[in-house]
Amino acid sequence: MTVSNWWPLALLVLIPVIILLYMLKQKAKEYPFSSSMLWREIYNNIEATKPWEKLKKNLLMILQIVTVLLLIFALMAPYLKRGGRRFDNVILVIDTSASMGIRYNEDRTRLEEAIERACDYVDTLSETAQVTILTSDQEAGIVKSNVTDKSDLRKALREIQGTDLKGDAGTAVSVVQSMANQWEQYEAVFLTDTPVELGSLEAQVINLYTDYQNLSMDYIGYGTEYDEAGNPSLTVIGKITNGTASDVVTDVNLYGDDTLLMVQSVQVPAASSQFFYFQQVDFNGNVLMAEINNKDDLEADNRAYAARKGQGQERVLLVTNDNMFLEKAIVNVSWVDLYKTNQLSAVGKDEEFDLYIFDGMVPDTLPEEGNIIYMNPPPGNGITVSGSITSVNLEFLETEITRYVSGFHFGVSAAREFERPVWADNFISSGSGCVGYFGIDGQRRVAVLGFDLHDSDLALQAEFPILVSNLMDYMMVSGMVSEDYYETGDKIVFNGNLNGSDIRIQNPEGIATTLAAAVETSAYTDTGRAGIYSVSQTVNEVENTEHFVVRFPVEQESHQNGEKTEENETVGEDDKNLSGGRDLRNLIIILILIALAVEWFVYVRQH
Amino acid sequence: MSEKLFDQDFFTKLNSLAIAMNTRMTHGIGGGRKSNAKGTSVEFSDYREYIPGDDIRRIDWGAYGRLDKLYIKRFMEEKEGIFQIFIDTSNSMNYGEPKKARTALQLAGALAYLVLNNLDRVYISEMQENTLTQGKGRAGKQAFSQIMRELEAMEFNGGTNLNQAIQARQYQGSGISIVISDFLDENGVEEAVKYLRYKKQQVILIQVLARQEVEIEGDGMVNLLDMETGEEVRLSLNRAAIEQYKRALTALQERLRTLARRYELTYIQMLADEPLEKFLYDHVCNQGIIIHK
Repeated sequence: MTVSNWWPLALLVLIPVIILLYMLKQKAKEYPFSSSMLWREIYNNIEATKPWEKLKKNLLMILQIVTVLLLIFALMAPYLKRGGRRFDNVILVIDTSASMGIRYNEDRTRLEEAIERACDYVDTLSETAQVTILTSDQEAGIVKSNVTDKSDLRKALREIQGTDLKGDAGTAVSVVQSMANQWEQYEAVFLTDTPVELGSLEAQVINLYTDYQNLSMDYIGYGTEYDEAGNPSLTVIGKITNGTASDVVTDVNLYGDDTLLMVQSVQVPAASSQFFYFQQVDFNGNVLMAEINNKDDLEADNRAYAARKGQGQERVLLVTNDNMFLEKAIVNVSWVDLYKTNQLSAVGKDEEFDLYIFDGMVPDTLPEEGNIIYMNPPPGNGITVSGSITSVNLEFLETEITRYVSGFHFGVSAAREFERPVWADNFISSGSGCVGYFGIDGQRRVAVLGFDLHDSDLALQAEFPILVSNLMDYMMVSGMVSEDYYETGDKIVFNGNLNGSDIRIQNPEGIATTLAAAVETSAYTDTGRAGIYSVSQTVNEVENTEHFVVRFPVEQESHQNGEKTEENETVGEDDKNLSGGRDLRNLIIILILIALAVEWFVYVRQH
Repeated sequence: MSEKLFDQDFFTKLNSLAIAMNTRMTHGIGGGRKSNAKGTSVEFSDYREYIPGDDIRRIDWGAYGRLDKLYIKRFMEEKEGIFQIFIDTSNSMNYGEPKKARTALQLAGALAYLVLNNLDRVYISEMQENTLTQGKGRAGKQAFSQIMRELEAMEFNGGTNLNQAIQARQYQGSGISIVISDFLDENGVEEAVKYLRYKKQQVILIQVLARQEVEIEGDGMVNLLDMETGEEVRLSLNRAAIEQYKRALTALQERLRTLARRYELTYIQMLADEPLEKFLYDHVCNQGIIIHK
């Protein structure tokens, strides 16, 4: 046994004080009485004659001294060491990977069991033990660091949430190792369901693996087919894996945007996988979900999602004789597929594009749909040239499409000035007139630049690709999500429109996150939950929403093997002895209460 | 005692009481009670032959004429009752509220009044330490004022030794001895009782206790100061001690009760704050000492 504080010993000075108080209190009052005869007769009975009677006489004082001694002892925070060892530094690592969501027993999942055990363990630690709590999934996270407040620790432990992430204790081991290096002695405890490669780290691994029954819906995908009349329908394919040792027949429900579309019975042989198909699915919504109807020990992998893609890459047709600068700048925009031609006659013939860029030429007939950028256009098609200028310094004005480049000056040897239409804003100024404008002409977005890139130094400036990117953003509302499927834990970069609002992401639990639209900062990492995510951005007052799927790591987490036991591990039910020792303070407080109760009883009896 | 011990109302009540005696007087001058002695009263008893020395006035001359022998007429002589009232005037009687001394003096006064009222004779004696201060025998109602003055002049001091004090009293004949005390005497009272019974006394022991002696109040450590001896007893006055004291007091009273049974005494307890007239009616009458006229 050891104690945490020695200073309460100073309170021992209270003991003589109590005795002194009793001595003062016991100063007898004068009590004149007719005769002491009867009193003397009983004197031998009432006065202390035997040692225990002496004790009885001063029982209250003795009880008070005992109470004070117990109080001092409690303040010293005595602690019963486990196996003669006591740890001042404790690291608890809680595995929060997806497999910890597997049912441990009827009442709890493995994670809940781990948290309960961790709470119990914290209770047995000494008052001065500094506890660090880590979570471990595919990364390690610090929940609490060097905390002694047990209630704080318990609260933090109970707030730990499981994830749908893959488990990898390696990061946690290295974090624990680096923390442990600073201490002479420590106790590290891993509460997990998978083996932990500890390396040189000394730690206790509590393995909570238990046998379990699980079916997993691995994934679903879909394709669009057309019947003879040209009506589209979906074919949905999916895969179920049976991790149990017996064949299982289960119903699979197919939902479209939360509406039950079809149900199919699927038989899955023991310890193998089975594909299933839903054909001619009439669904035109956003999200498909297939769900296993059977209850099993891991619920999180019973659903799989597919998001119907609304938008893909934007198609841009560059009509030019030769403009390498422009071509390179457009190709740099990742969500753009660039097509090039020098034949005006090809425009609008076979294919439709989202954006047409006419460099130095204007077709007689404009395509019916698609936005247009005119580079150095001759007059016509609504473009009115007001004059020509030479050797002039141009400036980008502050507009929607000149973000990060407004105020920039560049020189051109020859340029045209335009009469700006009423629907357009001027964005390039020569000082005397409008050299470039942009706007929405009816349903079409139009931008006009009144000079040949080859006649300017703009293409050599860093501002040029920014301008092009801005123009692309303005001209096309692009797809923000480049992949249809992600795995939990993946880092997702959204192709947000730089001119749009912040990007809002909502995870399957309904928790919304906002990211700045700038490309470099649009990495979204909060993909710990499997399910359907939605991402939206408002561009030019139009909200564009897309969905994407984050899949449960079925291969790694749904079907574990039960070979867990290593030398320093204990598996599941076998281990009930996770204990840091025994804090005696509560016991002493109970003794104090008992002493006070006895004191009260004695006082009442004596008076 | 300088306080007024009696008032007129009390005297009026006392007038309705009389003392009944269950023993006959053998000594003392003629009074209102039957005596075993043959004397000069009007009630004839019997005859006996004349022997020289007899009072020739008692010779029945008629019998001499008929029988030619001298016979003396014998009559039942009426004698006055002799009452001895012993008052414990030790300092312990000064205890209590009201003081036991006051109650004892009132009681003695009341009894004396009743005795005088019944044409009997009363002696009031003070017992202090081992000495007895014997008062003069008083008879006749007119003597009461004298007795009252004597009672009021009594001082309560010193200790108690009832045995020695009572045995200092010399008796001429039978009578009633009333001992008023708290009987808080370590030597007891048995020797005195034996002596009184030997002297053919009907003995009445009246134990006067203060309520404060029966119902102890107090708490904590006390220095118990004996009012008679000045002796100190240091003790913790808690519930257990009080219980033991009460048991000791009960034992003392039981000893006196046993003594009463053994020597055919009358033992009466009285609390100092008990109304005197009520006590006289309730207790003394019921004991056959005083009857209602």
